[in-house]
Amino acid sequence: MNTEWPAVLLFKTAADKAKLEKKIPSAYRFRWFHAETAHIRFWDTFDRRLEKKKYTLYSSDHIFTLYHTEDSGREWGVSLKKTGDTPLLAGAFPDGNFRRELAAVAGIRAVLPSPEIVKHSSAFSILNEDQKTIARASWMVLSVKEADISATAVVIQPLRGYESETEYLIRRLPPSARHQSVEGMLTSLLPAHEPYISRPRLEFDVNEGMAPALRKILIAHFKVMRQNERGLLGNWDTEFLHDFRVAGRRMRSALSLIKPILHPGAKQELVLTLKRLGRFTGPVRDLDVYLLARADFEKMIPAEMAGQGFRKFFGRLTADHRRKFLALKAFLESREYQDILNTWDGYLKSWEKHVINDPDLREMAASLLKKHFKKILKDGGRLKPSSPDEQFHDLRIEAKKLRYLLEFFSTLYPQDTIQNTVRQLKTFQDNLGAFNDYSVQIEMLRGFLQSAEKKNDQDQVKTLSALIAVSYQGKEVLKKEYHAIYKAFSGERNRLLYQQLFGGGV
Amino acid sequence: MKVIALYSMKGGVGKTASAVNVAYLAAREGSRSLLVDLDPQGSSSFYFRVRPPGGHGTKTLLKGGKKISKNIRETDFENLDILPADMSYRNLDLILDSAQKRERVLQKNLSAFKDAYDYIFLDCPPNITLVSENIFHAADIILVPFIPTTLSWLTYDKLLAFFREIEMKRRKLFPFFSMVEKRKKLHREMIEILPAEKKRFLKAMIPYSSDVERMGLERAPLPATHPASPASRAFEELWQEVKALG
Repeated sequence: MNTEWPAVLLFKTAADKAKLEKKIPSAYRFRWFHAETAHIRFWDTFDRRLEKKKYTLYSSDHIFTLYHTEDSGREWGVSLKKTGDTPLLAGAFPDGNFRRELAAVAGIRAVLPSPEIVKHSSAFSILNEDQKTIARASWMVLSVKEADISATAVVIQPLRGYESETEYLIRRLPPSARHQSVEGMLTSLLPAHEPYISRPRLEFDVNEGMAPALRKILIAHFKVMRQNERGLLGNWDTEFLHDFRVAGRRMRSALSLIKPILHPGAKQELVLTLKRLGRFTGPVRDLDVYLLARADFEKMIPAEMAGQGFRKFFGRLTADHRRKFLALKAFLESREYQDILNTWDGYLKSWEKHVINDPDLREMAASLLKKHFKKILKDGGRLKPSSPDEQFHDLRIEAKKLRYLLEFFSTLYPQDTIQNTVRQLKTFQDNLGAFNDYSVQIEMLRGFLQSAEKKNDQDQVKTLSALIAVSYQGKEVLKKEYHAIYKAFSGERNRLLYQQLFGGGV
Repeated sequence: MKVIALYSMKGGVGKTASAVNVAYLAAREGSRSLLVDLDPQGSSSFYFRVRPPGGHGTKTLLKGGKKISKNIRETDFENLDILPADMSYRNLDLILDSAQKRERVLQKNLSAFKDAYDYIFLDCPPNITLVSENIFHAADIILVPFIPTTLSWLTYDKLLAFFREIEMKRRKLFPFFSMVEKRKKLHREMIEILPAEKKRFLKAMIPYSSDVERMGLERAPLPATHPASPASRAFEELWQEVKALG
């Protein structure tokens, strides 16, 4: 028999040690060794990056182990003094290979703990009639308090040459499910994860019109927002706010681009709630971006321009972030936010009542996509390096609208073709996005510079002036590069692609 | 990988006890060790509570590679595996007799384990046959337990003569005193004279000990059950000396 060892057996019904021993033929006996208790948690990011990249991270009391599930050579361990159920960023672990590997997989996302599994285990050996050890084993009583689960399991590793004898004994044990690994067996006890996708891929019923499709888009993104609330309030990592915010923006775009579907009053009310939310989320997100890019900022300017002024500047950003985050938190915990949620719930439930128009889904999607593509081609073609920044911003917004529409309706089209258009658009957007980042950055830096000048803080004035100069240069470079990127985007091939997908002349 | 044989033409000289204890000591230090029980009496297998696998047959050691691997058993001690004795090794000579390059079959087959083990210990049957010749070829070091008596001296000379006859390097041979009883005058005298007469006599001496005899009851290596016993210490000295032979 070709069996994987060790055998990891999860019993279908709870069993005790004595019962287990009775099942074994009398020629064999168990020799019991020490017993121990461990508290185990599995960790992964909210979007399950470790699992997706085939890593497992678990803690047993204060020892953390990270390993690649398909490469046994890649395993790292580290001990952390203070552990509990608080989410951890890679930076919380001591510097070394473990941290580097975790940072490479989890990125800027925190790892979140699973419910705790309490494992009482006793090691034992199985001896044959010669009192020869034929297998080493561990008996486990497992419980997950949070999920009200308890189970028993046995892990058996035969000694070399005693595999078939061990297999013979296993067949005499109470019925069990055989798992590939102890970790796999333990995770099978944990409640299933609610799947999370920050950009939902929506399947539509093409026989229905655009009104139910719009509702579907809104429901899916409303869910994404709500899924991120907890992590956002806990400030676990910056991506909760990012995803929360992007979902809101996409909802706003859907409402304003896909029209007329809802009664203008209803539409207006919903858009206003999202605008109001954006007032609180926007400033925190902007500061998140700067704080995350601290190392990049430091590299941007010469060392003599950094130093004290740089530290002070980032100190101010951190303090500012804290203030604005608290304001956002207070808002999310307010009555007003509850009302916003209720408003949305209400509209999504009584949807049909507010629908004034329900055009054909495919027709409208194609015409929207064509319209926005054409608009980009037209507006984008007029831009020159000398054009004012505002025109670049407007084009960026247009590109974003097209991107959202492509993503909303992607399942209506052949996947490889639609993905090709998204890729093309992404390259185009990257240029405009970076350009916008510099502009927003310069504006923010100017604000800080003015206040530093007022306080006559020369350290900061020096740092900020250098950062503004470098950002300005970066922005101008992007403006120059724009032309070539537009040329590629508006080329014959891309036009044909849109024509092929959405029909008509482009 | 180093192959170390425990060999004596005479039985009852402490050969198996030495093989078992020295193999255990090597494994205890962290060296991956395999004890091959070539003695059809299967004493070293018995000491590790391992029974010969059913139907593994005469040809195992001759077929080599995977066939041997399949019959290897893990002992209760970390890093120590054993290839149990097979009653049919009695007939090994007959089979070897018809094999090509018959003196080197064992050497060739053991070489398959050069990555799996740091040491292979061979517990050999007490005679001079084609099997022994195979052992002499395969071993890097041949340890010869030697009870300090004139009879042992005679037997050892016979072995040397045989080595000359088959043109085998005598440099491989390392005798050591075994089952030494210091209260016996003869033993004391032999210990005095012999190392001067014979080259490569090891310094370690294994005393006669009731502890060693009890190994058969306890069925475990002596240093594992009686680490403080003088015999255990002597085996430890023996192993350190053998290890240093390089």
